[in-house]
Formats: sequence, structure tokens, C-alpha cells
Amino acid sequence: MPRSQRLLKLIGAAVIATVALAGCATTASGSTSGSKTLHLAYLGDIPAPDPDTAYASPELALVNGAYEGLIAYKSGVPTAQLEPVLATDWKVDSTNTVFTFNLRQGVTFHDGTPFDASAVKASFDRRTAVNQGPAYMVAGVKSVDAPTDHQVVITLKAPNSAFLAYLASPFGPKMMSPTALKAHSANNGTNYFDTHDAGTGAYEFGTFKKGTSYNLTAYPKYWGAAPKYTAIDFTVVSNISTVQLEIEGGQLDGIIGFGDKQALASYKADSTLNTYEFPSLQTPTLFLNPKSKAFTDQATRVSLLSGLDFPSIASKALGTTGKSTTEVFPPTMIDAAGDQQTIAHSASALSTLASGALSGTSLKIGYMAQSPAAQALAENIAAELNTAKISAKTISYPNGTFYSTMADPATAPDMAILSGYPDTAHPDSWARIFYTPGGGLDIFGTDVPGIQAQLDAMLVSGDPAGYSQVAHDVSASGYFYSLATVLGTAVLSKSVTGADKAWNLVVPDLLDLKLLAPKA
Amino acid sequence: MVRFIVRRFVSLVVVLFSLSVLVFVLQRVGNADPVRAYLGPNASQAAIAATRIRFGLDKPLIVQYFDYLGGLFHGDLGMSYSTRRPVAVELADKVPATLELAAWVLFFAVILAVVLAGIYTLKGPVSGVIRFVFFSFASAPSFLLATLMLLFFFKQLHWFPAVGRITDTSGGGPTGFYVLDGLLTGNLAYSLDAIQHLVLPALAASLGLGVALARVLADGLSSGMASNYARTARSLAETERSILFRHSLRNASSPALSMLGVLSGAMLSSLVVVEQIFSWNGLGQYLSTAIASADFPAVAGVSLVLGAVYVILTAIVDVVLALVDPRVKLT
Repeated sequence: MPRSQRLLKLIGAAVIATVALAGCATTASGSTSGSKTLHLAYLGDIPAPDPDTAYASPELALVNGAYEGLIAYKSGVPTAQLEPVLATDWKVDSTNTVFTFNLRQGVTFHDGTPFDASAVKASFDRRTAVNQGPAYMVAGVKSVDAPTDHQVVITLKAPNSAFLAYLASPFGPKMMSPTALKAHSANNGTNYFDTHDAGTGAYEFGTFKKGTSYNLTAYPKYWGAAPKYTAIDFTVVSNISTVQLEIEGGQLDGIIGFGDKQALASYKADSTLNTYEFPSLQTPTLFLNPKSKAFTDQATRVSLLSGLDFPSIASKALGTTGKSTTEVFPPTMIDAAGDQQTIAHSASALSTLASGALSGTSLKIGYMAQSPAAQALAENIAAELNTAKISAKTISYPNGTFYSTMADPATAPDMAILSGYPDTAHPDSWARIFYTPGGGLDIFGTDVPGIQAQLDAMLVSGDPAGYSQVAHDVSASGYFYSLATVLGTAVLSKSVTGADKAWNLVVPDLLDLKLLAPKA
Repeated sequence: MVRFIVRRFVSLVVVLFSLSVLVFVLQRVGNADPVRAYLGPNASQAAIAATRIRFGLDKPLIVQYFDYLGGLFHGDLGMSYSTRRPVAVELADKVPATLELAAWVLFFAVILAVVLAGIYTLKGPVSGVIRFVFFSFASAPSFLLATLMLLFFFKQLHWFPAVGRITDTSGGGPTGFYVLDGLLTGNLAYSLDAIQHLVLPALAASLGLGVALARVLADGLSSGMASNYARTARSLAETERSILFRHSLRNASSPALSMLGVLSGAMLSSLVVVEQIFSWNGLGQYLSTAIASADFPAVAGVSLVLGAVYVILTAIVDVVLALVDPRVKLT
């Protein structure tokens, strides 16, 4: 037999053997029901779960699983309620400047270091030194004093009625072991704490394979009730279709958070799964560009907003993953009676604009590429405008260019939709960020006269009544329109219980992992 | 040979330099805001200003570029804006994943090409049907093939896994090439598990390449079987099979190998899609995330690596070509 022929036969045999061996070997399948390990999907990879840099909801699952703050928002309730965590109780002085916390005793960090007052100052100092997005929450701290090992007194540079909300936020300061911080002080430990934790939470960081999987294991000396799952594995899956196949095949127990309404509808039809839609503060907002020639006139802005049928747009765009809102602030943030949008619907407004102020105008509506809710809302708004003979088209901007494009008058569209949520449930966290030019998410830099001063005054006084005036002024300006509230979503195997009590009001796709349990 | 290596090294340097300029310029003419991506939306103006200085973004463009180039010479590809880790460290995880997949894609493609080319040279309806079926599959985009394979081999038959490179992610080996790592550490089950994960993505990416190669190879084989040397061999009582494999295949390999070198670039591009569908933690998945978040150091790092891989792949193909066909000289 010629040599080349033998070689070919050998290769052929090798391929057949390889595929046969691989195919016959057992794939990692089978239901995970009854397992003490919870298998969840991450839809795409996450940045480092460092508590002082993490600023997106997926990595917060790891951060809040392994770390705890002094206080937190109670899980599973539709209105914000503060609850004690590493502080057992607290007191705020009448000027909203001095905050006194009594600390929980008998708590240890995962490295064995006992939790005491020294950890509070060390953790605040690290957040300041790392100086990433969430650092603003401790920027106003003047001093952290420890009268005893189990009490801290935090004094602010200026009164801030939102400070407790900062501490309770899922993005808020987390307590880190002073021992670990000292041992990994180089570059503030920003590389070390990407893959190692130093918290007190019910779970510890286990094996992390960047881009592939992240594992949490139960901390055996946790001060609270022991978590029911001994381990939680997050597998990185790049697309929702594959997630669905893996859940159906039993390789995964579920996924927390995704904005795909078609996928959710498909999951709902599966009798082996529970689908969840949780209340949230996420409120997609329509921004009208004050630098757009189309919107220099307030009457035109108001007329355009009054002509759009927002309940219908929200229903078509979001399905069951969101619902229309009549309020300016996210629901429950302030009293609904003083939070109503002032612009009433007018069926004839768009046709009047089409033949009048917006005649011959072509409007561009921008949205962030990786936001399905914003995309769907933008497309439905454009459709309604085009139906009314006002030319409109949507433009998708990659996340990395969205903010800089909006800030540049030469490139910014006439309108844009941002589907955001506040860092805390305090109204200042919404209004200051979204409605003042220095806030960060006031994407066109719109400055409604008087808003900044009102917010500053209320931050000092803590009087919630003043936010009604802010809501009125924002709505009347015609620069902003709160379109809907987007619900947090989760799909979990029926073998997983506890999700209905574990959801977080502030961050839509965050569950308190220690409250999840395998079905008995 | 020395001249060949020098020429290829020079072309490698030129390709990498051109890529670095291109990616740098593209990033600058775009409206990207890396500082915002790095710090998050609610960062204070002070933090934004400090980070701009820290990344050297306050310097003139040309200085920024030469700073970047200087870093490259020291193996420093910069810090990823979105993951906040050194790009070189990130690529050290991703490159083996993509190269391992690419190697299997090429392996499957070559095997498929040889088998199909052999079948194409046969007469009769079976050959025509097979040609039609494979041509149809090869016409489909790789994402569709990948999805079909997932539905059939994962969902229906449960033969192969849908996600990732390995079941037990806690393990690992010295090279990052999981099949090889299993063999090196004597863990055959690990290698088999890695192969299981490789089969579907490699098949999805190799089908189009294999069918294209098969057509070139089959044409070469047909003309080879009708050539003077085949007639001479027949007159010397060589069998048809012997003429096909000993003479025709070798002669027909040259154009097929040349085409393989050209198609390698397209293959690397198609891996970006395939990696997304199979959640393959390689350069493709990394690149798509980096582009969305305007992560210039990450995009540039991947571009440079892919450029280098392409130049090296074509060099390897040229060497193989010279080994197969003595008429080809390495210059």
C-alpha cells in the first residue's frame, strides 16, 4: 500500500475515533435538581468584581454575595426599607452630618480577621484611594472615628440626607478585612481583589476563570443563617439562545437578568421553569436635546411629548418586561401624588407639529446598543412619529461611544433614550444624576433652571416634600420624559426557591443569593 | 531559508506597525470615551480628569501613539478600559483558546477537503448528491451552521456540549491548549472532554473552508488524472488508486495549500462569530466585548495578535507548500 494512502487511512481512522470517543463520552448533562450547587448563567463576561470598582449589575452578584456593608436595602419588598447588616443600629444627628453606628459582634472576615470599627475606616479609605465610579459615595466623609471597637462615628464635611442610602446601596461601601487590605496594599490591591475577596458575606470567592466561569462557595463561619446552597457557579454564556438550550438541557438552573422579551415569553411557556418579573427603579427616559434646532422651543418639546402615546409605546416595546409610568421619578421614590408628569396626551399634537414646527425636519433618536429596552422604545417612538408624517430614525451607539456622542453637539442626535436606574432609592440619586449637567447621566447636559439649587437644599434638609417641585419643573421643561419602568427578570428551575424574597429594588437584576434554596 | 525567514519577519513587523497605526487612528476618529468606560457613568469630574492624565490621554496624539508603541516593545499592551486588567494578561488566556480552535478548524477542513475531493472525482449520482449537500451547508453563514449544530448535536442527540472549552474549569495545564494539557499531565479524560467541546465549533467553522478547498483539490485531481504523467504511470501498470494518491494528490495540493493560506484570514474572522455562539473564551469573544465598550488597548491587542497569527500561518503554509511541491522555492 502506498505511503500516502496509508497516511490518509490513518488520518481518517483518527478522525472517526476522535469524534466517536468524544461523542460517546457523557456530556455534562442531566438535571441539577436537588444539587447543593446552583448553576447560573452570566450573559457575557463581567469586569472585575472588586467592591470599589464594580459598577454594573452582573458583577454585583459576586460582590454582594461575598461582601456586606453596614446597612442594606431589604430584599423582596417594593418600597425601599433600610435594614441592619454589619451595623445593628444607627443614629443620625439633626443636621444630617454625624452618623453613629453600633457594629455587629461575632462577625469574621473570610480571612479570619474579626470585624470591628477599624475595618470601617480602612474600607472607606480604600474606596477613596481607588477613586473609581462609586468613590463619590464616601467623598463627603470628613472623619471616621471609633469610640469603641464596636461603634463608629462618621462625620461628613457637609450635611447629606442621602448618606444612609449610599451605605445601603448595592454599589455602596463594603467592609473589607483590614488584614487583607494591608497585605495587598500595592496599587490598592486592585489586581488582587479582582479574584480574591476580603468580605464577611455568606459566600466566598472560589475559582474564577476569567471569561469562562465564576464560583462562590459558602463561608462556613458566616454570622447569619447558613446559605442553603453550598456553592454557586456562574457560567459565562455569550448569547441568550444558548442559555435557553442549556437551561432546557438541565446544565444550568437559570439566569438572572436579561432584557429579551421574546426569550422571556419562551421561558414562560416552559413548565419546568419559574419566570420572575420583579419591581425595580429602572426607568427608561426620553431626553430631548436642548441643542437640537428642532427643540429650542419649549412649546414644540411639550407638544411632541404630548402627541406620543407612551402607554401604547411601552406596551409594544416592553411586553411584560416593563410597564408604562405616569410618574417623573422611579416608582415609590417619592409620593406619587406629587410626582405626576405634567404633559397630558393630545391625539392631534403630532399632526399639528408635522405641518407646523417640525415640517421638513428629520429627527434622530439615539440609544445604547446593548440596551434592548431602549432600542425597542426608540423604534416604537420613531414608528409613531413616522406614522404622523414626522420623519424619524433610530441610531444605535456602542456603549463606549454613547456618552461622548451625546455630549458633542456636532454628533448628538435630537433625542435619546437611556434605560438607567439610580444607585440608591433616595430621590437625590435619581434627580441629581439624570437632571443636572454635572450628574453624569444628564446625557445632553441639560440645565433646567433652579433644579440644582433645589436638590442642594433638600440634600441638607432631608425634606422629601421638595422633590415634588423638582418633578414638576423637570416635566414642564419638556426636556425629559420618563417612559416606563423596566422590571427585573429571572428564570430559574422549579428546583430553586426563594427568588420571590431575594430581589433587589435598586438594582433590577440582583438577587440576594443567600436567600435562594433548593426545593425541599 | 534564511532569506525567507528574514522576509517574513520584515513583513510581520510591517503588518503589525500598520495595524497599530490603523487601530489607533480609528479609535481616535471615533467618538469613544475610554475614561467613561473605565470609571463608570457616575464618576466625578475630578476622577475623570485624573484618569485622563493617568492614561496619558491629555497628551498630543502623536505622543500617545509613540507611548503605546514604546510599551509594545516591552510587551506592555496597556490596560483594558473595560476589565481594568493588563491586556497582555488577558490575551495570555485568550490566545491559546483561539489557536487551539483554529488548529482544529484547519485539521477538520483539510480532512474534509481530501475526503470530499476524493468523492468528487468519482462518477455517479452519489458524488453529485454529496457535492450538493456539502455545497449547501458551506453556503450557509457560520452562525447558522453553528446554531443548527447546537440544535441537532446538543439539544436532540446530547452528543456534545454547547458552551465553553472544558467541563471542569478548576483544572488547567501548562500550555492553555486543553487537549495538549490533558496529554502532558496524563489526564486523558481531560483531553477527551476538551475534544468534546472542540468538535462543534471546529466543525461549524471548518465546513465552508473544507468545501472550498475540496473544489480546488478536486479540480487539480481531475486534471492530474488526465495528465501525461498519469498516462505514463498507467502504461507502467500502476493502479488508478496509486496514481490518484501518489501523484495526482501531491500535484493538486499546491493550489489547495495556497488557497488555504489565503482563507486562513477569513477563517480567523469567522471564529469571532463561532466563539460567540459557543461561548468560547477566546479572542473573538474578547474582541466583540472590547469593540462595544470602546476598549482601544484590548482591540489593538487582539488586532496585533490576529495579524501576527495570519502572517505566521501563511508562512507555515508556504513552508508546507515547498515540502509538498519541489518546484516551489522559499524566497
